Amino acid sequence: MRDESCKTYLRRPAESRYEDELQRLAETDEGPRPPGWRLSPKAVRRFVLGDEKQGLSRKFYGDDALVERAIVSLMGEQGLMLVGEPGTAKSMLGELFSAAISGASDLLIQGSASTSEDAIRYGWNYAMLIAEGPSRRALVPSPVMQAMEAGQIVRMEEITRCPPEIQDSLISILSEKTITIPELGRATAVRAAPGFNVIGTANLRDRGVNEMSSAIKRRFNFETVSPIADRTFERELIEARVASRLAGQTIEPTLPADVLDVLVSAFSDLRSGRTAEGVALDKPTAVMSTAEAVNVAHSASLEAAYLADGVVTGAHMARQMAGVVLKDDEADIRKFQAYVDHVAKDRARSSKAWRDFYDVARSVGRQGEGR
Amino acid sequence: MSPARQKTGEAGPESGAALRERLRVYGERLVGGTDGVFHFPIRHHSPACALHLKRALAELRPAAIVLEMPADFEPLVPLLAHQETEPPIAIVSVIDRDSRDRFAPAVLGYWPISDSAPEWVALKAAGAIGASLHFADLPSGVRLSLHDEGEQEASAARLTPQVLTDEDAITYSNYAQALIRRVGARDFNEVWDRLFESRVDDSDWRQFFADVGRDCLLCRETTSERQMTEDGMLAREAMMRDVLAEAKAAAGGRPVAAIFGGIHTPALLDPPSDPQRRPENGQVAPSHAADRAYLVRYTEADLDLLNGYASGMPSPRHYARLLAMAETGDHAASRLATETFLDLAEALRRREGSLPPALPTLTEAVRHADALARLRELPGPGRSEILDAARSCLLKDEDLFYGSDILETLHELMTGAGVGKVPKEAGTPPLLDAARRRAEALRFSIDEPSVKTRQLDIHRKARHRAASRFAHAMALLETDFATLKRGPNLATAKGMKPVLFEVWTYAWLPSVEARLTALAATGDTLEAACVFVLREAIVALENAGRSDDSEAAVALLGDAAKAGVLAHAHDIFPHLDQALAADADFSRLVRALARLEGLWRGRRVLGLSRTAALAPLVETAYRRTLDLIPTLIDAPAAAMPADARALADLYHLTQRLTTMGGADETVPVQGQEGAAPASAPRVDRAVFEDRLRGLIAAMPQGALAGVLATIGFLSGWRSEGDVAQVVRSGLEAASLSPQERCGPLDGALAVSAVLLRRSEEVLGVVDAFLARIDEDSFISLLPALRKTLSVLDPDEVDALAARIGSLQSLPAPLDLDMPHVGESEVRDNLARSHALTGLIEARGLGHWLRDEREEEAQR
Repeated sequence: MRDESCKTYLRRPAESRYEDELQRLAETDEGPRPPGWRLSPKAVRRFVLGDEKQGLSRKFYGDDALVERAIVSLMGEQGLMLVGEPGTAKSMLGELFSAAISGASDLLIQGSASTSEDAIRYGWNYAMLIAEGPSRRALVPSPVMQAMEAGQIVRMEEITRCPPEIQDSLISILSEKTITIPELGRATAVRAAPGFNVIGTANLRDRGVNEMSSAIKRRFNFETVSPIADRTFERELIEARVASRLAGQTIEPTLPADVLDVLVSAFSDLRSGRTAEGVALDKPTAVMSTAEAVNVAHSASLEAAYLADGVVTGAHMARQMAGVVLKDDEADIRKFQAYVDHVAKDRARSSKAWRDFYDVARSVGRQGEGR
Repeated sequence: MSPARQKTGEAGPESGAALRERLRVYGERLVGGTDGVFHFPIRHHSPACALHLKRALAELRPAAIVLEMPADFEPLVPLLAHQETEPPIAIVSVIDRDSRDRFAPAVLGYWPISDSAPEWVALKAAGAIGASLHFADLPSGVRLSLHDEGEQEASAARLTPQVLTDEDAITYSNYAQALIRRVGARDFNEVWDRLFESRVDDSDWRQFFADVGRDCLLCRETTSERQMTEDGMLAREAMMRDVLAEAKAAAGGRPVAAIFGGIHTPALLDPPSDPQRRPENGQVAPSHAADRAYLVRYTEADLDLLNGYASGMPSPRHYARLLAMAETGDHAASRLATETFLDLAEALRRREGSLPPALPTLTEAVRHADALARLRELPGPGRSEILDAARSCLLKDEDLFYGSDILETLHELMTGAGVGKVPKEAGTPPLLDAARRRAEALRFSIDEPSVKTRQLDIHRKARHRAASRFAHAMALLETDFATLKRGPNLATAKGMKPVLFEVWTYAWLPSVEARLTALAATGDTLEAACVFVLREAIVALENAGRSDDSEAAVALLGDAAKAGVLAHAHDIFPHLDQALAADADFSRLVRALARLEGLWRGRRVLGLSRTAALAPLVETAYRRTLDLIPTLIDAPAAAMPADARALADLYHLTQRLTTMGGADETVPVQGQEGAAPASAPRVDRAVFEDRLRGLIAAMPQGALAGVLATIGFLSGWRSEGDVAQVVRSGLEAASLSPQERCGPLDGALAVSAVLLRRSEEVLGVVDAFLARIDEDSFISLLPALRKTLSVLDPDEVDALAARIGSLQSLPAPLDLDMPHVGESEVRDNLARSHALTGLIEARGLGHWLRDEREEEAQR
């Protein structure tokens, strides 16, 4: 179907990226598999959380119990709803689960204000519909319908961005596990094969999204994915992500540990509104997620590799961070300045990386002021 | 190197196979009983340990049982074994830090005993099989002194009661931490549950204790020797060995059961060869008993590890239930989860405003818990699986920091609300005794439980001040002993005339004693208990996300001062500093400042004259309110009236703080004239006015404009005409709501209630406006206008009425008398009224009249 080998893509689906791991797991997996599952629940757990003995990488950091709960939810009748702040790897987690459980993560609906019911139930190939009337051939199945027929997992991203009536069309599918097609006659319906389930993601705190009805909430088990609280974990994760992003390129920038520390501390301080020493800070409204930290580290590495001598410094971090954090928000600029003036300045006395960071971040602050 | 490792004589790193073999042998030696001693390594409060121990003791019928409990608790054995005693209970141990100073707080330790405590099982079994009991730990006083020395620097922590059953050595050992990471658990408790509580139904107690012992051995081997010496652990173990040897000798070859925290067992099995660690040569004297030890009732909530007391395991009711089910052989793997979820549904049904989960959701939760247990390779769901399942299936929303109703109810259920029982012979806890003696010494009549009233002359009589502090302290402890009916109010921004007396009603009811008994483990004196309660309040504020609530923080400071315990309540100041620095709510901050200023004014009578921290706090709060003034212009419209009133209050506070200087407005307090007064708070009026001008430049509207214009007028940098102009532009803005139209006048009157009477121009504006508008506009404006004018007190209303009378040339004074009505007319009217009432009742509409009358009665 897909030919991944002869062409490179910006981003390959999880089942292709981790093809080796999944294959190894399938070969050694002896545990009982729920109907329709490619792997046993324990193997899915090992795939997501990693297992050194089997050479499986850890793909999700910070909350092992959440992964276990999510796997158990997917075994049952309920769908799985992953909620939380932006950038907490909700979508990645959903992709990993579908790749491990169904062997495919491509059944995906990207929710938005313009998502229509066709994306959840079915649409028609109108040329064929007009030519030969309603027939199974003229019907265009939605990702949900395909997942039901194949007994696989379908993902619905940003469910709260869809209009409520579109969200509601999921209700009967989740409870009846059936889509009827009245156009093809009374007895025609698609019934879900074992292994079918829905993973939704939603950001409940964003402004301007549609509230989920309690009827749809009842049909999902909820899991809140939180930002990573453990600094060591976060460091490991950023390092791994940056390395894998740079893997496809010919450059090899050096990211010294103390420079990475600057990034991790700054993000974690600003995110929690409190430094490791317990100084209270004003939290910026900008998203200070790990994903954003990876973006900063990645861009800083690119800058160092292409525009400097290849060694990432605190100065690179400061420049990139300004772009990510400050954007246009005046209030955030003030908060970042306060952080630089009080915390970074203090640390600059004893650390070179912080000094580089401080020197640049300070001038970034001033530009902000001059605007 | 550990004793066990020394014995094996290995030097290099141990291979996996060698380690496994060594552990196997160790486990066998524990429960083999070769020298007559059976070792039972336990975790305090563990139901699995308790149940297996019970079976083992019934099988072995030992002649002696040796427990880890402190030797000075032995006199309490008859009370513990008393048939009326029911867990949860606790043994409280006290040493006085300084016998000369009666207010110096004592050091407290306590040993909680739950239903699922192996020690409890052992105590019961000893009675049943006639075994002798030996308490083998060093007297509790030794550990308390060690604890006290360790805590000397952190003065705030000194009053924290120490839990004598703490298991930090196991929980924080490197092995335990590695184990937590390895299995992906969240804490040690979860690991322990998976490894051992899940085996409550096992049939082989030997295997069980061998396994517990091995894990505890590894914990010990990954704990540094330095830490064990610092904790006094090695000295304690020397004593444990001695007592065990004595018990063994006395048993004369019959079996002996040694029941110790698993971390100590290795030291009992293989004594260290180093004689330096014997207590005779060590730094502590074994004769150091506590000054007092007594038995008190305890609660399940206090037992909860998560409640901040660190007394063992979380969710005590859950574990008690696990034990009860397993004991009756009724413990089908998932039944505990099912029962818990059913209880939860019932509790939610009873709870007002909660929506109980539907049956399919409950079913899903039970399935979820079961499947999680299978995924984690457990025989059935334990505590973590139940909580996890609830979180996944019952919580239909983001799991926010402050938690949900459902999870909170579940936690409450699993914690339990049970209270233990102690026999009458256990005597009165010192706290209760201290309170009673103090009440009598201060001439509160407590012999009969009737309500009495007492007036306290707090300014002139030192004894009455002491009585007031006692009553406040009892109120702080929520004993319901005394209620303040009248007294100085420290919470208001308006200047108060000094109030000379406090009037209290009080009654020494049985509930007072019950509450003091419940608090017995928190302190030995009223002061210590108050400090404990205050600290709890601070933690509660922080947990509720209210650490920036400056008003609540200052209220705590006031409570501490009124109860006379501020000198001991060290936690308050850092919390207060943080709250003042973080609070971004202007009106709340002004209220906090008002309370602080009240404390400053009342400092003599509160005994705070020498408290140097008070004046800087007033200054900090004042500066902080000034910093927030520029933000008022961006505040949401809904907050405007409150913000404007707060700004007016801030003006009054500024007036007082700048004019009073160091002078004390209260009546001089006899007996305290000699006290060196702390210097008065210094505030800068110029900065305040600067900020106000800055705010005016941003062109505020409504109440804020009224406040600013009036302050400007009174301070001399705006004219009377400006105020009149602001008030008029508000009233005449016909497109606004009535409340908004009255806003400027509202603000003006908040600054000066006498403005209308004193300022001809303002009164003229209002008068002219009211004369001009038609009746409909007047009626629509009337409710808002009435509310605005309600700030005037009756005298001011009379004076203003006279002023308006003269302005309008009405016959003065206004004739408010009723027109004359004759007696006969009243009689006729009453008769008509009765007839009408009868008519209305006859038509079945009587409730109309009743409702009205009731409302009237309530008013």
